Amino acid sequence: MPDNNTVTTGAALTLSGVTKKFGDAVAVHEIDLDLMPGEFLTMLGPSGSGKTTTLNMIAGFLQPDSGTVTLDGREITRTPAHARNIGVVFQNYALFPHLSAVRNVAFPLEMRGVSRKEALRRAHGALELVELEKCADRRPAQLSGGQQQRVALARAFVFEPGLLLMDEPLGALDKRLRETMQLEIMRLCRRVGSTVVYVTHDQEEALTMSDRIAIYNEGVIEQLGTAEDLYERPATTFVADFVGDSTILKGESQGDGTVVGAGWTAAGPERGATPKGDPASVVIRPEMVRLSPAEDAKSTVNQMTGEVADVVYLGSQVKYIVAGDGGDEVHAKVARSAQWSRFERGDRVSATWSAEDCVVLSS
Amino acid sequence: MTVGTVPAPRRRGLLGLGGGGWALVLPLVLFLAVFFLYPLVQMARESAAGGFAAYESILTSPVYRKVFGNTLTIAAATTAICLVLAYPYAYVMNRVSPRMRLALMAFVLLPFWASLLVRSFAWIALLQDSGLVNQALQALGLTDDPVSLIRTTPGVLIGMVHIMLPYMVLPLYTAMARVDDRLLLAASSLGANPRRRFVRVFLPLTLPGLAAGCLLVFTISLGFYITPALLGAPSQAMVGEVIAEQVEQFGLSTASALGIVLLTGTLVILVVIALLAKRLGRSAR
Repeated sequence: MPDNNTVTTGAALTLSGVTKKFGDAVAVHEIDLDLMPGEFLTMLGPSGSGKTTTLNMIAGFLQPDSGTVTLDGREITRTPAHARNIGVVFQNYALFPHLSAVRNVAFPLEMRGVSRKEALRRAHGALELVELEKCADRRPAQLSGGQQQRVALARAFVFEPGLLLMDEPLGALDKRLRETMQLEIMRLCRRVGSTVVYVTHDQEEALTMSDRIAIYNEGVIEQLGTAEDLYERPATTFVADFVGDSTILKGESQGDGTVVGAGWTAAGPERGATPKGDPASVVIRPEMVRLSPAEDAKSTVNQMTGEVADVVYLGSQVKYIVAGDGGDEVHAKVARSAQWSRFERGDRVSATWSAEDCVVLSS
Repeated sequence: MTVGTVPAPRRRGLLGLGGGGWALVLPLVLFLAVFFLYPLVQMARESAAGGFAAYESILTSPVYRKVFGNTLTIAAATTAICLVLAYPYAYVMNRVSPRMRLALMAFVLLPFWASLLVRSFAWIALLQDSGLVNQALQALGLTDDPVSLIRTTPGVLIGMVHIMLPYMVLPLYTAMARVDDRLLLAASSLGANPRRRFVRVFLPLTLPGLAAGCLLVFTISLGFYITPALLGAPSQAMVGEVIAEQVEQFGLSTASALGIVLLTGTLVILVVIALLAKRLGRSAR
């Protein structure tokens, strides 16, 4: 923790061609990443997709089979973990059970040759920053999950590392506490100024916290971009499916950005041209779908006629599941407002969306 | 072992003992009362049969003082050697494949499966001047004359360490198995090199097992009889041997007094260690 509240400069991190195999299984395949100093990058993906393996190679707990890791221009691929000066927050906190909270936080300072007295003083300062000063002398077992998480955070940033790694740090907390901690972590990271690599499988968490998100799938990064990029311009159906709620319609490409499916035709911006006759998908976000009574249907493109199969009440929104006449399903999320028209199960409706609100993907 | 064990789980409200639950301890308490407590009281009375003359002679005689000194020294040395051998062994046991671990475990437990008497005689055969060990040493050219191993303190130590090793390895192994590997990764990421990681994290976390192992080995070693009697030098006798000698000569009063002194001494040592451990635990905060 900077004593006079100066901000640490984050480190630039570069991974190039990093590959890791466990036996015959490829855990991570040729990962390339480039982080700007101070950037908050989240690795998002299902479990087993290689995000934690990547994190472990950055931390120095694992050695890549090939490729290099560079921190602030210095190659650290083979540097042992203890010499890397990278802060790590673990999913289970990994606090030392035999040391009090403040001694846990002082640990990295003592390892760097700071005197016991000075280390404790700075550790108290760091605990103050996470609002845990009053629990300084308690052992981890006497702290709640959220408090342990704060101690773990304080311990990871107290020695002012240029890079902070967090492996599902909020995974063990309940939803409400998780939301509070998300904001707190963001606030702390901004204050400390470190570059952050954050691992999660919770897409909401990723969208909330990150500057950029890397979507992992089966050991490769499917797409790297801002939350907006991923949400509005998904590169693959995997990304579209993983990030946010979406309807993915499968049909046949007409070669011009138009896709024809069972009982519907869609046209929109294309990500990579798909030859005529090849399978193609159309991604539509449910909040971009409008519903109207079936007899009002005007256009035949970007429209599907069907029957309301289910109505799900979400509070401020209502989600309709529309079973199209051709057998495909489209979801529509409609905001409740003063003049909204409500549909019931079994109503005949027409679902429409605009061309700019859908994305056409190959396969 | 009261020292260094894990504190019992705090919340036991829901599955507490019911009304008659306490009766479950009765069989053991009765057994101990009849076969241990009663004889112990008898022994205490026997020791004081002639007033406190027996105690007086034990506490003032240089011979007995030497015997107690030997006993403490040999028990302490056995404990120290066991610890030095067992700690790295238990560590390796925690790091190898399950199959290898089973093999290492069986290797340590082997002494448990043969009687103490048989093993002590076997050590005589191995350690005597014309025994296998001396033959090997001479064959390797390490020594010309046989090294006297039997009827010496090193001989006793070899035998006792062999017998006591499982008592050290098992608690250490259990304590090490409980250490979460992620704590060691965390220590590395926080800047601890392997040596400091061991001293500041691994060693403190395995201290409970270390304390339990040392106490077990030390207290059991204090009462050893057969092994020192067969392998040791008569001039370096342990308390157990002297008690047996007294019993054979119908010196029941002295034998009982020796037993009581050994018991009291052991208890005092245990209390001192427990207090030290408590203070250590507090200062570690």
